[in-house]
Amino acid sequence: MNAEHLEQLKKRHRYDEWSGGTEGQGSGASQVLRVPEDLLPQWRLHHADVLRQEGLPPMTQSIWTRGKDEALSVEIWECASTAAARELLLTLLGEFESPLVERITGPGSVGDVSFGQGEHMLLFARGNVVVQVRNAGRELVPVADPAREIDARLTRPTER
Amino acid sequence: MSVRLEAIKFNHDPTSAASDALNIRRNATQFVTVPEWQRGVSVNPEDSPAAYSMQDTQGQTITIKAQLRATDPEVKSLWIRAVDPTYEPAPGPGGCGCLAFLKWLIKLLARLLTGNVLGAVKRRKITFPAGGLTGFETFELKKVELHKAGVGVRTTVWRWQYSHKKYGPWTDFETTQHRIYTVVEIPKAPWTQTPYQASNTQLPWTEVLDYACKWALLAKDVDTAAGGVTRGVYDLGPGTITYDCPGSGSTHYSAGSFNCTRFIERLKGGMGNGVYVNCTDCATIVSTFANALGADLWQSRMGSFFGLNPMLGIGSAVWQPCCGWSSFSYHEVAWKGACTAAEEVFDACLQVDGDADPTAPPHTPLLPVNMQFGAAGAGLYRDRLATPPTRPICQPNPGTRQRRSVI
Repeated sequence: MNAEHLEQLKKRHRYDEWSGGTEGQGSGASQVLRVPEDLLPQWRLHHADVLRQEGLPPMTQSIWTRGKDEALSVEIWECASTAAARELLLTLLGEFESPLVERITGPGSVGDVSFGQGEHMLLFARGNVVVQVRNAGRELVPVADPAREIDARLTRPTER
Repeated sequence: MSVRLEAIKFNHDPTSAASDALNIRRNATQFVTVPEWQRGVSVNPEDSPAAYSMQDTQGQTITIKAQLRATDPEVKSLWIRAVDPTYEPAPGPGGCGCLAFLKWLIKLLARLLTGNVLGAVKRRKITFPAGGLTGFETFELKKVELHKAGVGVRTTVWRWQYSHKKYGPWTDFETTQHRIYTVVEIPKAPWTQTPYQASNTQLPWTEVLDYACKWALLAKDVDTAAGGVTRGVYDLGPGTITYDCPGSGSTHYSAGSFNCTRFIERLKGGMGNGVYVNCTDCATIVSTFANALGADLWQSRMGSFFGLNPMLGIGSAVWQPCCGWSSFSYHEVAWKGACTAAEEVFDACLQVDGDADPTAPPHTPLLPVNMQFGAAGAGLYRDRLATPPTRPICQPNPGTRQRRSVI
């Protein structure tokens, strides 16, 4: 992403409003990065790949299936700090071709900061962790509930 | 039987692609071991794979290396050769007329599509040492048809024969089958030929060539090959992949590296990373698969936030700006050279309107294959993709040019 595009994204998504975060809002990320099979109790873990990308924190990409045509893609990044997680969130916002991804506030929000477009995709940060939940199957399902289940796991005290 | 074939090496010189096969592997985890054909191990053609570069082998004598064993201690030397059991010479001028010629032509075409492109193994005299097992002896190939045939995945069948005398009579002693990939040039990045070792996952994968060679069948130059790959990828929609409207057009296979393993799983009918792809995925798939055939494409972006003309997104039969959105925040394609307005793009993510007015019906679907990006108003890729007022902001962004490694 070039500097001009980055600036456009900052302005478009009002980055100043959410770029800061309280350090120590951390999470049970290491528990989640290993992708326990009960992370999403109503879904079956199809596979999980740990991906190391140059210049980015390690990421786990997992695919979950339910029924014949329902599938979810869950990606989880563990950053060095909350601030780094917010920067990554901005970078990931630049990876949507759609211009309609917006910040979610109010009751629909998940994690510390979340973004989405409609009900089939959600990107959020909780502490030093960034999570993206998307549909991967033809039968579309709302992703808010699975995203909240993951967020709950991230904030569960026993997982820390 | 006086003799036995023990093994054949196709890639007998890892430092050269001129007279032997390329350095390849099967996928991210499996290496292609040399000798590719081994007695008792290689049964089907796919058990013995080899890939050749048309450009590098042109005008060269291709050789293989074979190891033989004399099973009769009385035999000190033999003439050895391998013939193509499907080969038929052209009917002579005084022959059987048009029908015979037509039959021969059909058989020849069938051979070029699916058959033996390595020709035959020239006879040579082999002297057996004490114990009967030879080293890897060099054999020259003749009637090689790699260049006539073009890109493809084909099966070479050889009937191995021996004779006590130079001109026969010949006795069959073995039949071997080999899966032969023909590419235009040595594969380009992310694919490499070095270091040639099992841990190098960026050696060209036969699992990629299986699809790339099928999509670019018969191509004899890299642009035609890349075009074939672009059409092949676009035609995967909607059955195998479709544009990621539900996920706002984000990558499912190309975050950082290209998860080629999961994409191939999808191509084979499995789950992979799911049905959805975006432009980054399409650009990465096209350039990676085309570069395996010798093309020299990049993944590069244009942007940002430009309006869209009606199009057919991959997997969609509805003419509209992608997913009904008004614009793209960015777009990524497989791109030649420096990835500027002067270079050509290959876009498997969408078909543009190819007629005089790309902004309105009627629409004429046109897959952007080797289409120059162009300046605003030039009637090229940029004008077909972006709405007239936003064409000036639909700018090539060559700073994003990259080739994702494969995993």
